[in-house]
Amino acid sequence: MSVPQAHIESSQRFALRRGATIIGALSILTLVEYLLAISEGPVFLPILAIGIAKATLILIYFMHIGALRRSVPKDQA
Amino acid sequence: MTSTIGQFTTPTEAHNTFDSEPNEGNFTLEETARIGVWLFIASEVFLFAAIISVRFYYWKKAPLPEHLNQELGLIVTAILLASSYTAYRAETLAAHGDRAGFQRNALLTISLGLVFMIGVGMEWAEAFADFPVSTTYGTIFLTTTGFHAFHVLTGLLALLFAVLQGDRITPDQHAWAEGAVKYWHFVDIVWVVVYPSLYLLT
Repeated sequence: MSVPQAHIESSQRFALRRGATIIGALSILTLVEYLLAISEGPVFLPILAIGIAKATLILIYFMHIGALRRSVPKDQA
Repeated sequence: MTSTIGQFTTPTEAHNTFDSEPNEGNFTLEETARIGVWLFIASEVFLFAAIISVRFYYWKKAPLPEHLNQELGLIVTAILLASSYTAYRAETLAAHGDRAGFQRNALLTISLGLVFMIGVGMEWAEAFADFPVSTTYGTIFLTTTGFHAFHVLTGLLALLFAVLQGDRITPDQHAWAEGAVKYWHFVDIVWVVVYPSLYLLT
């Protein structure tokens, strides 16, 4: 197996593992959100915070918002 | 089919002549597509911000109905989250040149999206019975979930088109895959906001 191919496969494995970690975190946050909602007591702020955390995780890890900055040539950034 | 729009070339022309090389505006096809998708998503944010803000504007007037099906809401949320993961896998595999893997995961995403749409249909059937459009909450619920479902539908079409383009995907050229998947994640983010505002927050 050539080195570049091994590198590609390693990079792919890393990306897929990271995706699994993020979806795990999103699932746990969703469950916590739901349990908070059906519990008694003030839940507005915790649920709002969880929603923001979930959206941020998706933006950063699934949508790769950081890559957008790298897309703009330096003389136009 | 060789028209040029401003400093960008049309996708067809860019595909035929520039491939992944920078055009005269210093953007490759992939970069042009990426920026275009982000600009489109940014415009959509304003639409959903307006729609969702109505829920909070009528906060006191429209409390959560007693018969709101919380379990169904949680299930459709889980399905959409799962579809986001398969979409992520599809894009990752496309970026690594695995065409079959991309198509497999994109089709799985489409399937989950269709299941989500069925779930929304069930929500609507219950909504019309328990909190019809004549009520404030009913209007907000049906408008918000309706707009979101329409975007899910367009996301499904974009993913389907990307699957059909799957044979041409390479690690350097997978703009359709990336764009469709990004849009799908955006639809998921919208639901991340819609779900608590319509189901959980009282």
